[in-house]
Amino acid sequence: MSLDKRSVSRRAFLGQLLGGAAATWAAGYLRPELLWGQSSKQEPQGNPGLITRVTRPFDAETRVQEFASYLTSNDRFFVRSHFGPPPPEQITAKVWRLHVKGLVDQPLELTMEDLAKFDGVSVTAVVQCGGNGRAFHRPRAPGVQWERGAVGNAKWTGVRLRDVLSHVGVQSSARHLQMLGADRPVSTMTPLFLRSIPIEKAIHPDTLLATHMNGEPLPLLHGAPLRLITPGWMGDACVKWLTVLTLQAEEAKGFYMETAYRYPVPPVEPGTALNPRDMKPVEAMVVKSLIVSPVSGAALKLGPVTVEGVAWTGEGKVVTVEVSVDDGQTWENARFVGEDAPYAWRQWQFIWNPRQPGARTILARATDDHGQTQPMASPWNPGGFLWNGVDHIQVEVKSA
Amino acid sequence: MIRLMRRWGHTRPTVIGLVTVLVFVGIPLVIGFADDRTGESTGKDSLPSVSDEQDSKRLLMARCAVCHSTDLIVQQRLTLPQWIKTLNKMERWGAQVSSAEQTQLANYLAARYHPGASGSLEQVAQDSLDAPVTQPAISPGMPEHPEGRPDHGQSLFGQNCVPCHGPAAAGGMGPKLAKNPILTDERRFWATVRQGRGAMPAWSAMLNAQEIADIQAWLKTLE
Repeated sequence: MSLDKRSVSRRAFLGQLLGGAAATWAAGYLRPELLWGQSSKQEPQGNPGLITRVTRPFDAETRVQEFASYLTSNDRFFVRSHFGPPPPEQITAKVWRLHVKGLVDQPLELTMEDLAKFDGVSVTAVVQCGGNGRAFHRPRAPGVQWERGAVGNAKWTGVRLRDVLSHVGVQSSARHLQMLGADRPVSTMTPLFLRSIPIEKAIHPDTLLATHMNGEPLPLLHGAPLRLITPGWMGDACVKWLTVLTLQAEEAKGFYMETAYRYPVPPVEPGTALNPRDMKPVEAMVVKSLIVSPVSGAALKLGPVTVEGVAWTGEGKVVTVEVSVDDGQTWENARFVGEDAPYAWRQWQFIWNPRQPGARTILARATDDHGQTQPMASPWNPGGFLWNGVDHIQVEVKSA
Repeated sequence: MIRLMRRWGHTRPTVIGLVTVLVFVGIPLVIGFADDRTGESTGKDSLPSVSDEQDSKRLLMARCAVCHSTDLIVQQRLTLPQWIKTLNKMERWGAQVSSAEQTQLANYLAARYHPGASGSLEQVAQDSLDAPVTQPAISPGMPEHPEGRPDHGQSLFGQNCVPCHGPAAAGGMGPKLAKNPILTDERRFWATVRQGRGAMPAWSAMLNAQEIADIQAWLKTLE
């Protein structure tokens, strides 16, 4: 591609303006503390902890080295939505309402003040984009080409969804809870991000209507003022900017529930015709680990190295993490460190003592208490969901 | 501008004002895509056909980038049938892209962003910013800034700008344009609409000078 001076300077300009941040709103339109959280000093025009995948609507994944921290900070947490956040004036406490309707005894409209009257509860949980790792599927799947960082671990605080549902009285014919947020597409012909979860997940005591993230009010990019948190499930259920809950007999209709976020069970070969009856919604996460340190491409000195990472699974518990430094011929157990909470990730360490200089690959794989172990490559599916292939990094061991 | 960004802390209020006006005025004006099926003349008629590549890039900006940035497009590695399917879907979802344009874009995209195409995702981010700088669409004999016709401007605004700037130009994803000072700043108004700024794509491939003047004239009538 030929570049003249004008295109370079324009590119540099755009890079500055849009390069890292919530460019839906462009630099300057919104205050950083609104976008990223009160404690953030993050400037809107570039976030070194994130890799922008889509400038508008803004989608960005976390650089894996940020996962050295047990909790992923709000301004380093991956950002994903289909349409970008709603205008901030639509979600102020004054105008915002949560509507609960459908198959309920008493439809309700709740303010933030009303919600605060329910018992407060916190859950530390991994939230992960259903398409995290899509870039590794072969053949390629269309969609945002997430690599390793569309995931994070945060402390979510709010009220139990089940308490709110008990308050309105759910009728016995209600089998699904449909969620809708305040975000809207540019064109009215684009389907809304309508999602639903089965009633069993909705009334699970750990399913939250979250108002806070890591002790702060939810930042705009993470769903202020209210988002659903379904611990153990993928992020497509964790609807942001939540305004409407509808109890109904059937799953939500529309593209984002009926077509997107589904995968064939059992898996099919690429190119095979898909039977709609075999397409299951993306729900629980699958067992997965990441190598956080060293970073891929690092040059290491000969001598002991601490390999560190994180591992998590869906509705279960990670029981082992193994590391291989010989291309998967042999595996050794890593040691868990730090906190052990049901839906959070586990941090792990492995001391590696390379004895020869040269290029090496380090692999990590986790196993959960359902006996599921990370495969070398996850089953292909047309949407590129649920990637949990063994994580690997390349390092160079130097002789001196 | 870059220097401004670096001195953000000191100049934030100035920059906020500037960026809000410049960036958003542009975006909204463009957002709706001119509809070449209305029978109205659009800037597309005056696109030079010197280069298919440039032409396709302009189409991408005009038909696709109004809703999402092009980095989403160039990171894909799809076959021709997949690109066609995607373009069909986008049309159903509101992109005003004709059959002929879909064919042109599918061929353009499949030739560059196919499953065997190389390029790291980092490179992709660069590519996406390499959007063409479109030239003002001025037909021969047309004055550079023609006299605007507010009645025409209202319908053009409805077709092109409402999704971002809202009905009655009261603002939405893009800034409020009614009574916006940029309306009387000729140089900024025309530069922003034609060349785009920030998240707002360039409209000169889609709207000709008369149409831009019409929209400006209508916006000036708003209270």
